[in-house]
Amino acid sequence: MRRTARVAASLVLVVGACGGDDDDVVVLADGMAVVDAWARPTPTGARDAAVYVTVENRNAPADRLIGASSARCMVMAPHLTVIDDDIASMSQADAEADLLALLPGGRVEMNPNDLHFMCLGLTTPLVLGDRFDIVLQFHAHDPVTVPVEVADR
Amino acid sequence: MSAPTIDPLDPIDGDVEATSPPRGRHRLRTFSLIVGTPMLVVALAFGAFSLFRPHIYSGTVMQAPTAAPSMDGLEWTDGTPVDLDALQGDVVVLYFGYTGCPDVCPTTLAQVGKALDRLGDDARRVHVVMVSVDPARDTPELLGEYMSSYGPEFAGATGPIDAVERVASTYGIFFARGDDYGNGDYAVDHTATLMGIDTSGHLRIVWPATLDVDRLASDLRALL
Repeated sequence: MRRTARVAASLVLVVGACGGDDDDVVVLADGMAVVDAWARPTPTGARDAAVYVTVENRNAPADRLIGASSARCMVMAPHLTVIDDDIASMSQADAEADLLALLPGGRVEMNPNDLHFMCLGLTTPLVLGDRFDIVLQFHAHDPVTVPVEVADR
Repeated sequence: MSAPTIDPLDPIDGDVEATSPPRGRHRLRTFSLIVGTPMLVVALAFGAFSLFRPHIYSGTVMQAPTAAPSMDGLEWTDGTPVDLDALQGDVVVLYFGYTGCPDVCPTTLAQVGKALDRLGDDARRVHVVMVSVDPARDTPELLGEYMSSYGPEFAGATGPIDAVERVASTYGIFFARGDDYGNGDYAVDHTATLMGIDTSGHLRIVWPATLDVDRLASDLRALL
C-alpha cells in the first residue's frame, strides 16, 4: 500500500519533470498530454501570429489534432512553414496529414519556422508575459482548453 | 708507480653513487630544454594565432564582395529615399519580409534583436532593414510601427511594387503571393535569408533564416 503510494508519487514527479513548466502541462486521464503552448509577442501592427503547441500521446488511444480556436484570434488553423532553398512558404497543414497524428507513444511538436497554429486576425496584440487560452480540437478526444504563454524564446 | 687515485668525477672509475646525482640534474636540464623550448614556442604561436586569427564566419561569405546594389525607388517609412551610401561606416543587416508574416519574419527579427543585445553599445552601429515584399498592404505607417517595436536599430523600407521587384531581383530575392487563408488574408512566399552589408558598403555575407543568435552576434561583431 505504502509502496504503491511511493511509486505513484515518483511517477507524478517524472511526469511533472518532463513538461518543463509544470503548471502548464495538461494531462488527460487517458494519457493525452499538452506539454507546451507558447507564442511570441507580436510586433505593433501584426495582424496574425503563430502559436506553438506540443502534444504527447502517452499511450492514449490513437487520435489526431484537427484544429484550435481562441478568443484572441478570429480564425485558427494548423499551418506548415517550409524553408526550401532559402525560400519560406506556408501552407495549411491538412488535418488528415501525418503531421497532426497522435499515435500511442507519438507526439505533435510545433516550432518556429515549422508546424504552427496560425492565429488569423488577432483581436489584441500578444504582449510578453501575457497568457491566454486556446481550445485544442481533436478528432476523437473532447476539446481541451490550454493556457498559452507569451514568451520570447 | 703511484697507487691509483679515485676521481669521484671520473665516469669510468668513479663511484657510481657519487656521480649520478649531478648527471641526473644535467639530464633533467637537457630534457627541459629539448622538450620545454618547443612547447613554449607552440604555446606562444597558439596564443598569437588566437589573438590575430581571422574570424570564421557562420554565414556564407561572398568570395568577391561587390558594392550593395542601390535601392533607388524605395523609401524609409518617414518618406525619405533609401540611400545605403549614407549608412557607410555602419553594418546593415538586410531582410525582405512583410508585416503580415506570422512565423518566419517575427522569428528571424526576434533572433536578430537578441544578437544585437549581445553586442551591447556596438548595436548602435548596426541597422536592421526590412524591405517589404507586400507593399500593397504594408503602408509606411504600419511598417514603421512594426519595425520600431523591435528596437531603434530596426527600420522598414517600401515603395511601388515595380521598385520593390527591381531591388529584390538585384539582391537575388524571390517573392510571390502564396497561400490564401480564406478570410481575404494571404501569405507572401519569400527568400528568408539575411544579408550583411559591411562598413564599406559591400555586400559581404548571407545568413540562412535559421542561423542561431550566438553565431549571428559573433559574425556581426567581426563585421563591425
